[in-house]
Amino acid sequence: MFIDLRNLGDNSVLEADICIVGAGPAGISMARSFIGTSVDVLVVEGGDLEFDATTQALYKGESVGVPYFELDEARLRFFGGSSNHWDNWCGEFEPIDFAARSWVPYSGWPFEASELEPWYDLARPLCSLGPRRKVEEIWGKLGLEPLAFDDSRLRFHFWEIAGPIRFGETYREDLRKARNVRVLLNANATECRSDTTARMIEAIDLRTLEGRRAKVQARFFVLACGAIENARLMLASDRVEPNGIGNRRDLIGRYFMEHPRDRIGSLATGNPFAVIDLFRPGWSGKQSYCPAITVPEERIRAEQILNTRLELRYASDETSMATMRRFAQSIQAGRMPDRLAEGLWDLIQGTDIMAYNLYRRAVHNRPIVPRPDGVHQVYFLCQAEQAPNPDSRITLSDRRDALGSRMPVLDWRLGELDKRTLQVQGKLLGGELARLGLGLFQFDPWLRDGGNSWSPTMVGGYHHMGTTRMSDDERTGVVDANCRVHGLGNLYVAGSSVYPTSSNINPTLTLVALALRLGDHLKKRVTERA
Amino acid sequence: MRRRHFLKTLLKTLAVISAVTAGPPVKIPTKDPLKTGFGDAEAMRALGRHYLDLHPEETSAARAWRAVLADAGRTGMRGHAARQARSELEGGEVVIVDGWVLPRSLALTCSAMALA
Repeated sequence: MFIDLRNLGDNSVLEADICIVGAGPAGISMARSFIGTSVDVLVVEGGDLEFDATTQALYKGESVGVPYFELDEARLRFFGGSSNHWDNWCGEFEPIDFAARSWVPYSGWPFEASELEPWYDLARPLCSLGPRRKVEEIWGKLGLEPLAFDDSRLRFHFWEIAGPIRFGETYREDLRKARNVRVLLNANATECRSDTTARMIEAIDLRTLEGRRAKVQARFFVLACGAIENARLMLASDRVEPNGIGNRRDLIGRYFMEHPRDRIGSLATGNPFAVIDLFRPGWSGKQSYCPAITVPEERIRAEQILNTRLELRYASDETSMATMRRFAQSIQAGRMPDRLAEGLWDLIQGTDIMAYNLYRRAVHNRPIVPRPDGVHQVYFLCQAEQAPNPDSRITLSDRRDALGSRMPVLDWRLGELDKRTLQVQGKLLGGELARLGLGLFQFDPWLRDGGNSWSPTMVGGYHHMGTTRMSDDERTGVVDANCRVHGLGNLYVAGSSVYPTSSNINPTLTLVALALRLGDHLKKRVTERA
Repeated sequence: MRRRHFLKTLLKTLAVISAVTAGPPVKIPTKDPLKTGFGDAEAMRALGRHYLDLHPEETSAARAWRAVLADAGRTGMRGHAARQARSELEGGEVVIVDGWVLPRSLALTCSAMALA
């Protein structure tokens, strides 16, 4: 059932067994897992069913560290959350991502990779992914022979891509029909109110942009509104604990992590097509896979680096394939393509490569490739694991948003290990590409020196992690292995804010798995109490 | 409308040009430098000088390598250098010079040319 807070009376009090704050992939997945149970679930979402610019502006904030996207561009505040602009590039974390690594301060999850497997199995179909496959099996499905890297130096790991899944659209009807799940829209959480000992949350305050107030009372509360907002809400809830609820150890907001993305270098090669063809995303049924290059665990340990992935990209001056895509999209949308004459001339000039690509797609199910003589650069892009860093953090500004809440300040920081990892991995890559006779690799200038300078073109992946990190030890973590906030009996956190380390793969599949795991934990707790 | 379209096209063209030219100033040879020797001897000498600046301790190795190549003669030089490079790459023995990831013997070959 969907309810609009704007239609309820002022100062309404809503009650539930479990209140989930935030209707993104974590909140929706968890709420959905309760459908058909006897647990009364209330999901509170700050936005509406569709995008609204005024609500979105509540995500504004400052960035004072490494240059970053505008904070209100990096996530979405309406039903479905940031899955509304998600491309659904997925993957599971690997065993080393969960391990405590002596050379990575603050690394280590309170459990191993195998703990998450049953929930990954449940999360995969929610993200529209097929069953888990080994790398060799994927290459077989794609009908390709991978580059014969020395497996002690480099290996492949695939992104799994199933096309965009908008959680808010895909699972809307499930939640609408559910008898025991209510979704409260336009309900912005502004404060978690605890008892006087700050050991239990008693209510969460809600406000609409029109000024209407309400509160939710529940036995259990789950914050699932993203790594920036989870921290922001806890820091802002300072009525009893002056540093914010659950923040006795001054950890909330710290350890903000992203996946730094930038080019690391280029390949001088006489045969760009040979490598490009192997690195294009390829289909297997409805799912596609995109290969990335990572370092095997033993080598990571030997080199004492992070777990980072590289993907191959190219720059081409050939435009006919892009024109063909543009034409296809226009025709599918039932309208005449723009710039028709210009596009037709482009297509005529690219007849050969278009015919070749049609043949590849129809006969071999292979993706589009550029005309080889149009490629003027082949380069590698990293999606890096970032080492946990307590100084990389979210704090609160003195500036306030339209609801009167203090705005977030992001101070994203990167360290020496983050950069050294790229240098080591680039060196391994260059050696292997040369050994295979594919060309010579040259680092981009920013990686040729030591120090901690970063490329001005470096960006993140819109992946916010780590601000309410997980640890069994309350001195090093905000939540425990069950995602319960240390020191609070009924407050939980869902989403990538609980990640102690970030891996190199996009975070959504893992956060959905963790949310489902948390849902199962709460089902037990509700029953125990009852 | 025509003017607006023209301006839009112009803006897009400028965006494409700036996107292409805004990247780091990396000079990419059109051919694999492992096979073409970085295009010309002067480029190899420059790389060799750079390598010796970074690693002056390699000067004697470069001199020794020059003697080895001289003994191999003009025809044998290329095969000998290629075999050595192959062996180094198999062992993961690479060095970084001016951002290039090279088998050490290629860096020494360039250095030997710089010393000549």
